[in-house]
Order: sequence, then C-alpha cells, then structure tokens
Amino acid sequence: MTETPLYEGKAKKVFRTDRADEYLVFFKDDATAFNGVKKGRIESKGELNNAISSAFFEILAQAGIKTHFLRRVDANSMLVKKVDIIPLEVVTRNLAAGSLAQRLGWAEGKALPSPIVEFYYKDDALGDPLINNSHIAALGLVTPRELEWLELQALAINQILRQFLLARDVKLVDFKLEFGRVGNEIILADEISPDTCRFWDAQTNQKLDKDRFRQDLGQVSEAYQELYQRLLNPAAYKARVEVRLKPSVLDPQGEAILRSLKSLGHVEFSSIRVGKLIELTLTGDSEAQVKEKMAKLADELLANPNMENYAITVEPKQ
Amino acid sequence: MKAAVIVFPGSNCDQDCARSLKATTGLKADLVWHKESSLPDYDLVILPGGFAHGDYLRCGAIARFSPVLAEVRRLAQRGSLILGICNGFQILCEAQLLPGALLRNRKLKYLCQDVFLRVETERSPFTSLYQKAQILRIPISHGEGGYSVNPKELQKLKDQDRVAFRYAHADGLVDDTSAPNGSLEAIAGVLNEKRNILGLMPHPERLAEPELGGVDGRPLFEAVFAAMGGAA
Ligand SMILES: Nc1ncnc2c1ncn2[C@@H]1O[C@H](COP(=O)(O)OP(=O)(O)OP(=O)(O)O)[C@@H](O)[C@H]1O
Ligand SMILES: [Mg+2]
Repeated sequence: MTETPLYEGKAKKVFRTDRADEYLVFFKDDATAFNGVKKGRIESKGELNNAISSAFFEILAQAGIKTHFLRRVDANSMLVKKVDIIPLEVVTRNLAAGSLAQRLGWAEGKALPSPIVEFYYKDDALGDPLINNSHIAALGLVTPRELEWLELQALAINQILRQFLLARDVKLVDFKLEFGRVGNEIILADEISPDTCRFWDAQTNQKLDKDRFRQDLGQVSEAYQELYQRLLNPAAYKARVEVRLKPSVLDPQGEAILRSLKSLGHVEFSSIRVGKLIELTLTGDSEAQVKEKMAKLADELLANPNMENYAITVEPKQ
Repeated sequence: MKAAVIVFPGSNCDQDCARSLKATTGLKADLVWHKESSLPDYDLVILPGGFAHGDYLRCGAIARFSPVLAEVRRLAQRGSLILGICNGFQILCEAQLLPGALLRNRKLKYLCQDVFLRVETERSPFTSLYQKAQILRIPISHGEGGYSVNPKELQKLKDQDRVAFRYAHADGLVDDTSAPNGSLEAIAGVLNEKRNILGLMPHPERLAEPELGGVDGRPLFEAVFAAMGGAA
C-alpha cells in the first residue's frame, strides 16, 4: 500500500496494492450530500460502511452474484478486485423517495407496483444526471445487451437484499450500484451502505441511512450502527421442503385417489401424485445460507434419494 | 460366539428374534439399546421388526441416525453377520448398507399373512441350508414393503446373485402378481456385495418352531449359527 491514494473521492480513498489486479478501498468518515454542497463528518461512518458493505457483498456472493469484494482488511478498508468502473449509477427503487418522489410528485413511501430501475450518468461536473437507454447508447457506455443485463442484475440483487433485510425488519427503499469491467466480465463494485441506500425500519419507517444527515434528523451514526447490528443478527426464516416420489416410482396413494375421483365422476383427472410438505422455522444468516443448509438436511434425512426428489423454498418469517 | 438384537424405541420383534435364535441354535443374544455407541465384536447382529421411532418421516429414516448404527456399520465392515428383518431391512436400506428402498404396499393395505418365498440363492451365510428354488412359507407383516431399486442397482443385484428371496405363488411360480406388496421383480430379500448383510421383509423368526405352526424359518438361524462356527 502506497502512502498517497490513487484516487480520493468524497467517501472513499482507493489505493494500489502490490498486486496489479487488486485495490485497497479505505472508507472515510467524511459525509457529503447534494453533490458536495453539504459537507460534514459522521462518527465511525468509515468503519460502519466498510463492515456493512462487506456483509452485503458476502450475502450476494453466497447467492451467486459476482462482486469485486475479496476481503475486509482492517476496520476501515477492504481489498477488492480492480475493475474499470462503468460510469453509470444503477438505482433500483421499491418505494418512492428522494429524487423520484420529487420528480413525479409522489408521496415519500408510496409503494411502487414493481421495482423501478434508473440509470444516472456518473459525472460530478454534470451533477450525475438521469439518462435513458438512448443517451447511454449515444454515450457508448455499454451495449444494449449489457444494459439489459445490468437491469436484470440490479433486480436480482434487489430481490436478494430485500428478502435478507426484511428478515431483519428493514425495508429496502432504494439503492445505488456501480458495476465495472474486469476482462470480459462485468461485476458489481463500489459499496453498498447507508450512504448509497435508503433503509427504513419495517415497523416504524424510521430512517436508518444518509437521509438522517441530508435532512438533519440527528442520530446519524447511531442509525448506521443500528443497521449494522441488524445485519449481524441471525434472522428467522420459514423453509418449505416438498418431497415427492420420483416420476419413475409408482405412487399407489395417488392412484387410489385418482380412482376414487373417477368413481365420483371427475373424469378429467389423468394423474395424481401425492407428496409430503415439510415446513420448518429456523434462524439463519441469509436465504442462500438457509437454502444450502436445507438441501443438506434433505439429502441426509428429509428425503430418500433412492425414491424421492425434493424442492426447497425459503422466505423470511414475518 | 456372540449375538445381539438391537432394540429401537418402537421395535416389537426383538424378543421373538432372540427367542427363535435361542430355540434353533441355543445361542442367547444380548438385547442392545439403540443408544449404545460402543459394542463388543458381535458375530451376529439382528435388526428386528417393529416401528422404530414410530416410522415417522419414512420407515427407518430416523433409526438410521441412532448411535448404534455406526457400530453396526463397523461390525459389518469387520465381517460380522447383519440380519435386518422387516423394519430392520428398511433401516439397512435407509443407512445405505443395502441398496434400494421400501415403498408403501401397492394396494396401500397393511399386510399380515403367510406368503410363499422362493429361495433365489443358497450362496450366503444366511441361506446355505436351503436349496435354490426351495419354497418356504413365512409370514409378512408390513405396510411399507414394496421393494424398489434403480435399474442399475437391480442389474447388479442380479448379476452378483444377491437376490436372496422372491415372493412366489404356492406352486413356486414367481410372476408380476406373486408379491402381495408390489415389490419390484417380487424381491423379498437382498444381500450386500460381501454377502454378510441380509435384509428381508418376511419374518423367519415367526415360523421357526413347530409350536408356531411351521419351521421354514429355522434353517436360516441354523445357517447363521453354522457360519459363525457353531456346530449345526
Ligand atoms: N473495484 C473497483 N475498481 C476500481 N474503482 C473502483 C472500484 N470500486 C469502486 N471504485 C471507484 O472508486 C471510487 C470510490 O470513491 P468515492 O465513492 O468516495 O468517490 P466518487 O464515487 O468519485 O464520488 P461520490 O461517491 O462521492 O460521488 C469511485 O469512483 C468508484 O467508482
Ligand atoms: Mg462513490
């Protein structure tokens, strides 16, 4: 690690490492808002954002999302894969807030019928303007296919984070992602933290993000701390394991039910298979982790691989 | 020469097995609770019939995790004889000491009746005192005895002469209808590759003394005793 950063932004410093393909990202306590117009410091923010981002990147990696995250190095910094950042801020929204509420005159907190993905051109001098597909094509930032992929990737990440947070009593209102190129691949980069997301308490709608700083709501560091605590808590999940006989195995129960249905005059049924539904409640770190655990348990005990198949679904227990 | 009958919560043929072994061979088996995690080197271990752990989830599925099963596995590897009867057969399949699985009876009914078995091989320590194709009368008593196994394993069982018994009609004919429970190819009992583990659904211990109405189960216990080095 060299003394002077390769790049210093408003929230982070990026350092070279002794490996050409890795960077060290240092999270600062400095806070800015409204494109740098409002400046300040949030006590322990660097540490918290480093820890929170690391936790989110780990959750996403477990769920199969490729990210730049390698590991947390110390309280304030993480090691990442070096990427060529695509200058697009990919914003996904579940509830109206911030610039969307303002632009369309929607009340803050209005539920969106389905998640909205927006693209902003990452350019401080221009004030990071909202742009559309044609602008992106004209700027030559990504190909139309890549753009489509980015949107799908953002939605997939939304699904994972939303469930993960809901299990910990947090609503994911919206969040900003940055992606970068490494070789032929595009992977998720930058950070995922209360600086770049809106998090609300699921019961009270209390804000647990940088809006507390933007809107002078106070207790900023405490809110970041609270969010981090919730990420650390194991959450309750509901798992359903459906066990069914393999198609090649005869199902005498299904046949008996089919016969009695036919004898009742229901001639439209041609096949019935009877299976088992096992519902479990358990605590875990994330949906992916719980799912993996359930699959192991199904292989070991809940299903007999000689004659049965199984399907697992996991959701946060409300 | 030492024998054990394993007792699970829900086993109900443990005493019958011990009694028939004694009556046919003079050998007195230890009744061993399923929580035991260290066994002496028994030469014979019988997993008896019953409803181990209530047969919840699947027959034998929970029993398979009883501490004693690790020891049964060890003894099997050592070459001891392992005999699984009815629920004991289901447990051996769940524990993957024998291939296949036992499904609900084809007609869904619990079957408690005498059946005829055709001896398919006399080449095992359990069947050496029978003759190949000999017909036996032995009772069954189960709701989940339909033997099922994938085609590859089935071929292996046949190639290696590891089908011990098939359900037959009274005249010895084996066909699609001779297995009352719908077992694949009428299979009633199978051996492992080393031929020191036998699992079967019928209950040889229930017809091993004249007072019980028949003695067709007797040669199985005598064969086991002889294989252990006992004088027949
Ligand atoms: N894996 C990575 N490889 C290379 N650059 C990265 C990687 N991850 C993030 N970056 C870039 O590092 C910089 C981090 O700095 P920071 O976020 O503080 O500043 P900024 O994004 O330029 O400004 P601001 O976020 O305040 O608008 C960003 O430019 C970000 O795009
Ligand atoms: Mg930034």
